[in-house]
Amino acid sequence: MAVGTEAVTPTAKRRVRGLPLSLRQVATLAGVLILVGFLALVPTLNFTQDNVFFWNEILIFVLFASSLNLLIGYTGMVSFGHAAYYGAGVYAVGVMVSKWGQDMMLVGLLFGTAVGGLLALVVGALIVRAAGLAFAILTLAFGQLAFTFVYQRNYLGGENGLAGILRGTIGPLDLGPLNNYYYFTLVIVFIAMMGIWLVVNSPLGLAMKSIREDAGRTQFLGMRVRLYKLAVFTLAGTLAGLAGSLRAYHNLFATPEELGLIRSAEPIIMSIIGGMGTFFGPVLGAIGYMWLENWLQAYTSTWIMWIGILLVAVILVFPGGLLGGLSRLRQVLRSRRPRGGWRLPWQKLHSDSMD
Amino acid sequence: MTFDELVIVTVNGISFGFLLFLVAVGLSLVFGVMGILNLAHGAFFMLGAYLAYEFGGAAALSLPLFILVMIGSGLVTAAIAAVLEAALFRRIYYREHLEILVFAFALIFVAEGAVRLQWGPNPLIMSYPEGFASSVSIFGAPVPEWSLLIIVAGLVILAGLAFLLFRTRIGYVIRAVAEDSHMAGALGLNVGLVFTGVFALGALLAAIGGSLVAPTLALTPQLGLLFLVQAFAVVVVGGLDSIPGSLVAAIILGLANSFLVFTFSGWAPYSFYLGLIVVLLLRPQGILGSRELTKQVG
Repeated sequence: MAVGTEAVTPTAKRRVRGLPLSLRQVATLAGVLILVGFLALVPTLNFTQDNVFFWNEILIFVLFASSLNLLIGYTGMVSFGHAAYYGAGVYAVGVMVSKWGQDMMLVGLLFGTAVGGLLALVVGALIVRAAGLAFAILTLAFGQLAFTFVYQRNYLGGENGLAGILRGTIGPLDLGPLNNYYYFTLVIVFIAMMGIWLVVNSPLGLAMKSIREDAGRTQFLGMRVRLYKLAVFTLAGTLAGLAGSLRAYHNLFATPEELGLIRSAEPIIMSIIGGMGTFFGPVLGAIGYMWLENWLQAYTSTWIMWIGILLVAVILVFPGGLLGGLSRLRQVLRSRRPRGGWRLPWQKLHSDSMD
Repeated sequence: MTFDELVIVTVNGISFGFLLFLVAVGLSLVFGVMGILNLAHGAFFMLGAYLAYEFGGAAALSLPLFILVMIGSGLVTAAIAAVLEAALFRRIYYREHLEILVFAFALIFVAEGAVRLQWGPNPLIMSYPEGFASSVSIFGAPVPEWSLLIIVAGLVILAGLAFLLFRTRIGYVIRAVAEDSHMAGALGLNVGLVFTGVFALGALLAAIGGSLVAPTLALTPQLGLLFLVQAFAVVVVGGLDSIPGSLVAAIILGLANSFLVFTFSGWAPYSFYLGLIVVLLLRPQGILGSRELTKQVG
């Protein structure tokens, strides 16, 4: 665990006897091992092909939600249009395969990732000067712009989208069969998540959290806030582009819904359910949300209402999501005041910066 | 573009502008008084349209009956909004932007599901009131009567709203709370009641907008999202805390949309988003607004 987090939480220093690791690190490692082990066993656990397809989608959403968490959770940049960069990846692969006949998957994946990142770089350069609510609305507007563009272009298949995406081979790997592609996705997502882990625990990660806590003071410390914001926005867009490219080869279809408002909201919802601003929050949130959605869809056509009700409850009752709830529970069990103290509902009134 | 077409496109644009205004004014009121951007506002618009269908049915009504249906739908929606405000929204006014936005989004989901549950997923078609399905001649151009009726209704509501806000004691209290809610509370005004009232008033106007638009399109559970982003663009372009700004922006964007549909129809769907982006980058407080959306550095 990096310097920053260790310094904040004194409990992280309690070490397990005989190991150079803290209790928390051991628990985290064990959790990751169990999770990855389970994911690796999904195709062999007597599941049907549909389930492998479903878990493959979950993996992609884990990456997508985690890329957005970099923006919202760690840097405090609320983006309501993240699906634009994800969708750019989907469509970049779609155009490449079905229009240009490029069947080299590695090229497709790199191209989709690059297109997502480039789009984020261009949009980010325009909008990182805005902050707070204005930034959120700008991302929403650009997201809708991208959606409308894809929806309108006949070349991109309009509302029907692009069909005819095929999986191929990468070197000796034949990714045509779904099981093989599932393992490939698992490896790629795992590597990308390790990258995210390194970023959030690096000096850059510290700068991101500093911007989230107070952009003004970070600026006064001599850090180039806008440059950092642009870098994070581009990084998040690149990772979303990667998730989108994986999605294109997963669904074998590019549809405008991949850029829609709902698709932008989903990773936010996942992160909120799991715990925004924590590394594992979006991971757990993505798995939980997809499971819940799948389960509800089997029972009721009004599943979206139950998702909404759950979300309202999470925001009102468990503002930190699953992981935030856990850490609060731990604090209560140790009979400590929650971080920030017990705040009465009206006490924040006067520090509100809207007026 | 012939003269006839020019007249029709202008009238349709202004009528669309008034519709947008009816939805946007609620967003603007709520932002001005409570300081939050209520994304769930589109749900009230949708609810208004569906309730008009519920009360009026598919067959053509006489105009007075339709107006009655419209008012009924508005009042029921306002009552639902008042309950929602007192029970739920009040708890999130001082949260982070993200939580407020997502909270509202969740309520849109709930509204969509509830509408699906109550009225089913299939599109519903409502008729124009008797005698309003055709056109009247203005300077020789055949203008749809319903567009004219929407403009008239919009003007009446605008006058009523202006009277309420600037010529009555209720408006005086609302403006006081918008100016400084803590001071208004300290002076003994019932701030909570004003919050609920303003929220319900916004929902009432959105529902009336929904009822007015109901005969012109097929009602689907996605209606709330459809109109929301456009109304959203209107309030941001006009200035979030400025009702005159919303009116100006609604008319400008309505006309721009109407002309683009006629001339470069491929560009029309982009107009709202482009307007939103240009205004936020160049004039973040909007055309007539005073509050900047951002005070952060960076």
